[in-house]
Amino acid sequence: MGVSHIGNSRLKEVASGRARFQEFEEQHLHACEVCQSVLYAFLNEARDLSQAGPAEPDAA
Amino acid sequence: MQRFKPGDRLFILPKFAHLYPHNTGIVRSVSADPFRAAFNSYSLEFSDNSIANAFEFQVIQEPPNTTTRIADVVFDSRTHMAQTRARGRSNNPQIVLHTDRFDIDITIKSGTSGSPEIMGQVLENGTGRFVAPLEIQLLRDAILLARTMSEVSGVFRFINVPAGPLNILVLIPQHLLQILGTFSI
Repeated sequence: MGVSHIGNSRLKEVASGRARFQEFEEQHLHACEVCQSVLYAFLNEARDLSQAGPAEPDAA
Repeated sequence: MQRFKPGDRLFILPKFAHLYPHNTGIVRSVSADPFRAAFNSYSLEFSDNSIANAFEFQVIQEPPNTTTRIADVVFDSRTHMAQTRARGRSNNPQIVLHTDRFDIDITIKSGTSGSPEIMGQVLENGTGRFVAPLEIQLLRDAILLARTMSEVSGVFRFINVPAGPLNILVLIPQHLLQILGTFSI
């Protein structure tokens, strides 16, 4: 059974200050290097995500 | 390794503060992340006794008896000069971050390596006096990128600054104050 990761749009919401993780998402993040890497990349994106428009849908 | 410990008072960055009941809280417990310190999680208790978790990239420490002031960008030559269509626009963008007591003047230059450099100065409003030496921190969200001390004249400098939104934190213990400002390169 595959691991269910946090969606990219959700990670982007948190990185941009538009949302907070729910408890189960936070627990997953602490255990998942993949989701951490994506969130860290969003945090370090050169453009200001807080000024960005709506996040694009996750890739399937 | 976690930066903060139980009992520390943390200030939530303005970008994230609307997600919490107050912008300051006391650390009640710490959950260290096994991979990245930025994702250390702090359980914060707020003045209304509510509790919520915040990540290390969302918070800075507010030292005891210290107030955190958010500086406003009152001048950015990239927007002001464009709006007024002024001639002789400088190649080095200038930004002024303002609080009621102190201004932080920032000039962004291209360094010898081609990467941006920041030169700045902290000035006391109304007196024109320099406040120095001060510790200045450059942050992406609350992740520390670099720290330096200002010179006697209040001047400070950061080299190899990454592009994008940045926070600057100026610690002024003489006035029990720290100033947080946000700008973009």
